[in-house]
Amino acid sequence: MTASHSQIPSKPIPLIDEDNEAFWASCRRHAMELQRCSECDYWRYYPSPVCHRCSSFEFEWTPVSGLGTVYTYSVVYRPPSAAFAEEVPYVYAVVELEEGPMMPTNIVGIEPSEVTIGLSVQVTYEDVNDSIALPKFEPQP
Amino acid sequence: MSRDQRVAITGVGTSEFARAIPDKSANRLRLEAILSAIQDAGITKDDIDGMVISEGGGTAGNPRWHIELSELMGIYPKTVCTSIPMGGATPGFCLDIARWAIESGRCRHVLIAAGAKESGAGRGSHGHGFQDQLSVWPGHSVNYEHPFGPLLLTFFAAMANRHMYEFGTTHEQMAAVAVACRRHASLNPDAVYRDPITISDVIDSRPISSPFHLLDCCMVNDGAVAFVVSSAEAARDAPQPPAWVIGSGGGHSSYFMGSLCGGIPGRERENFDLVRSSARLAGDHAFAEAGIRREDVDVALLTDNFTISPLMMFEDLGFCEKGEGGPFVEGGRIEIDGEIPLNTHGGLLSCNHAATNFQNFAEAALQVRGNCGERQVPDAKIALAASSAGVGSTHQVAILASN
Ligand SMILES: [Zn+2]
Repeated sequence: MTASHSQIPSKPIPLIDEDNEAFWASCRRHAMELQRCSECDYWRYYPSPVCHRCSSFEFEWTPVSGLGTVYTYSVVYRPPSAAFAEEVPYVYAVVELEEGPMMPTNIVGIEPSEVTIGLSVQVTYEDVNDSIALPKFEPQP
Repeated sequence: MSRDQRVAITGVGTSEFARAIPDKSANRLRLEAILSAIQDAGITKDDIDGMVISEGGGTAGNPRWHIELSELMGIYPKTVCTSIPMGGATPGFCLDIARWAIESGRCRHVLIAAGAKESGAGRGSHGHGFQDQLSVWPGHSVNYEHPFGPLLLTFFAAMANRHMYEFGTTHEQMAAVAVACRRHASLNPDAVYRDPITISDVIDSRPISSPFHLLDCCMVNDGAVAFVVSSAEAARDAPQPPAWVIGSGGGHSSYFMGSLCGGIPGRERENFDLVRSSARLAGDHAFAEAGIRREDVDVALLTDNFTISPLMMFEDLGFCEKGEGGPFVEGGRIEIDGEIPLNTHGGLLSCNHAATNFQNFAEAALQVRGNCGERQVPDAKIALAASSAGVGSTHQVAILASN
């Protein structure tokens, strides 16, 4: 690595741990699964060892449809670090999945100025490295 | 008058505020604010028997600032001594601890202080350097939010967009917050930015993270704020009129965008979500304790990190109905000669962001004391000071009153 390259910070990469490794493994397979509570059927995200609603430890990793709508968003013009400088403007959003959970993400495959709250979107994956694929969303056809 | 007169702010002090103060350390700034507050309270350092200090946050963070400042000042012995790590909501909780310590008889004079050299953390409005701190500062989710490239302010921008979508709020309405704060800063010789601005100036400033433009966003800068909280008996001997703490409250919902947007599991989303904040809990408790109505408040010192925040706090604190914050802040109502002046110091937008929100409590005390010079709200008797953190989702407020 050259001196000039070492001064460009890298993008934040999620850390894999006991509680989220199945989630990241499902994203890596491009087939996202979320936790569904075995006691109360509540879908949860972010990954958690316990149900946010009923406090049960029992759950199943369950495939989701990958469909949702934009709950809210912001078009980022000023990058948070040099690592994102090439990509502005881009869309940071929270997508409300069909199953219920809210997922922070990026909206891709559309001009940022075209994104609206309520836009129907579907998941697409950005392979970051061998362990991590980030779930992003694009307009439904 | 049956108002609570057991605990008062008796002294306030600040350092100078500037975008950068290269020749002074952060501790030097904190100590200047502390000594100024002690002098204002008419006491000596040896009268202080409690210290509640801001942890600071980010790279300025030290969970034991109370030890550092206590040793530098030589303040011994104490019966309460701690630092509070609640980000922007820290000052209100520092005041709560001081209040409880004094009400219980544990302390007589509690010193509260905060300060930072944010300029060393990067330039601009929550800019690159500040953002880098977030990776070691998990108040926002490192795993599920930051990989997608939000600025800290992007969370609030997403809040603003949702508020615009649900309630028809406009950027012009949010800009009225920045205009009011700048007008007030123009009356405050201590403020960093003092040239008045217009709605168009805000709209035409460069875009940062939609719908926010540069002038929708607070500065980062260097400075410090301190105040002394005292028992009633001590307050009656103080040289300055007491600013009685007649009510306070806390409200905390979610920190992470996923849960904040989704509301509380198993309950109606209408309880709390991204645009329905737990400031409601803090406000309801503070007003009930104070035994006053919203219209009794003469001046409001609210968290104005971004222009959406005070607009939404006016709703959630009960000054207007949910969704009516946009029209509420228009037309001069929140300016110095309006019905409910907002942030007479100039706020985080135009006066000072170091010691985030601590100045709201200092300014509230100065207003009810009548010490605010050109920016004094005539005959101000009751001031509400707020402090908020998270994504506008964790709140500590207090209501101060004159004699
Ligand atoms: Zn459950």
